[in-house]
Amino acid sequence: MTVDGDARSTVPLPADLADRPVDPRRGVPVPFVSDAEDGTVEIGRVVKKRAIRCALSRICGLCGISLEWGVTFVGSAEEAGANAFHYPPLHRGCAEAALRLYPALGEPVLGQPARVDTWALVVTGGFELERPASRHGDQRVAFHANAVSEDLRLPG
Amino acid sequence: MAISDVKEYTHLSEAEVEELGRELDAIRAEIEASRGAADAAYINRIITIQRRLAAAGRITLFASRFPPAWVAGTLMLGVAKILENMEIGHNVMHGQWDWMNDPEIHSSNWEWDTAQPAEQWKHSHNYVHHQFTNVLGYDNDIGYGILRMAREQKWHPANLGQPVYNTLLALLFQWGVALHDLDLEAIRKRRKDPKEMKRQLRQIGRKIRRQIGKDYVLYPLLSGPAFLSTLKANATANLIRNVWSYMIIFCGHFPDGAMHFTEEEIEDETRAEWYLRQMLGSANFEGGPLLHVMSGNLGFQIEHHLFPDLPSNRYAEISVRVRALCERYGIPYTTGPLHRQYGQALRTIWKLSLPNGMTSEPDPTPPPRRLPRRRLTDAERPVRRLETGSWSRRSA
Repeated sequence: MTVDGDARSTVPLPADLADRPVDPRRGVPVPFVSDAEDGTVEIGRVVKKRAIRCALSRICGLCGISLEWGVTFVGSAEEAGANAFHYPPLHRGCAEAALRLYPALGEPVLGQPARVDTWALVVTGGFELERPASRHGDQRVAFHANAVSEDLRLPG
Repeated sequence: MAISDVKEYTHLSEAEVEELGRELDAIRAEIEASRGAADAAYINRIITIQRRLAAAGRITLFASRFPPAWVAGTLMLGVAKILENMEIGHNVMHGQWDWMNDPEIHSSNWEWDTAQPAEQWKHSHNYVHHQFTNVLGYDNDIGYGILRMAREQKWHPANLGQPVYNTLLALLFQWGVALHDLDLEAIRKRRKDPKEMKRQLRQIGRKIRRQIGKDYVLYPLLSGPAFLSTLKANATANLIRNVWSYMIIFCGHFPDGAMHFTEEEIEDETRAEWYLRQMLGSANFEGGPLLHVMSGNLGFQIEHHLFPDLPSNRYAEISVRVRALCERYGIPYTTGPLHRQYGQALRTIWKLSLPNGMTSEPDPTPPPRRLPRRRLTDAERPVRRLETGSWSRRSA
């Protein structure tokens, strides 16, 4: 399945990701974790309540459907180096499609504050959820992979 | 009112609360670092025992026309179902064993032996209950939508029937749990996304067909002439599991001392305050190793709520340290024998079937105030969080 419009139509999407509502301006599916439930859409953001829901309900941050074995995280090389991802767990298929689809938009995506030169894709058995310790400073939740089976670097 | 005003820990300064949070973080880090072969051997051993018990029970029931075989087979099957639901299914679906990277013993792949689909359990329990523990209006486990369990909940004449509803809930627990994630109140108030409701109902329908097909068609048919007695035995095993799991779950948050919270009390909550809410909202029960295994180690409900994804076989050792922390910081650590904890939950169910004016209000004495504590100003508060949101899975 593909999304409609321009070059992005060549990216095959898993059915559940393709079934997500589409951002009318960009022509790409709105990730489950970016849905603030108030009608606003920021394609690259991580809504904290949704990130926690993904972690606890064991659902994919992109399509919102139950995870499968081989839980996948995407992030910057720095996040992978620190084993502290800020984008929730994903299906591997959703993660691979997302890395072909969203960076091509030319804006910060997949929870990153800026464009990323090298992406990391990490496959793990499990992960730990870390909630913010303080009301001040970084309010993002973090995910720590605890059984890594693959650790790939991909160009941005 | 914010959770920082809850009187059970207003004697703590913000620095003390943060220090407590750091100590709990350290316990978590130690357990994470020490997870290994012994833990993996534990869960594999429990799964082996459970499967052998289930097989032995099913085989024994082929002779279920003979009363001793019926009793033995039913008990073995009932115990196997309890083990599968409590110590294995519940804990695997929390991700307690995901670190082993075993595709079978994994939160994403385990489908348990009860009517509720695993996916719906992971939402209603892992997310809604564990994120909003004992928060009125958010945590649907407070009375499972049919029982009034807190004085803050509005009384209705229908609550007079609570003792009856409670008995029915215990006997039919797996069916009540099967409908739990549908959120009947949301359906009644027409807030439920119809598309999502249909998807969930189809999922429940498939799971119910599988459960009924297994326990009430396939195995009775395999028993041949013992069809009817095997069917009755399977129903009894399910009944044993229902009543046991109901009782264990009701001991987790409804004995005296386990607190309820309001929406306002969880706004701008830090990780340390989240820990505190879990500790104040949960209750343990005491018992030997066998009782703890049969209850999925939920006798360590406080530790389970602090660290829901750490392996259940480690809760006993964690509990010693958590209890010591509670004593040091002057925080209640609610525990007692199983019969007393359940008795208190039952008393609450009966008591709250009546209007508040007809019953007395408990008034526990808060710990002495040691340090002054102040409220945050509005300027210091971050934007309010509403983490349940709507039910729509796909809407943007």
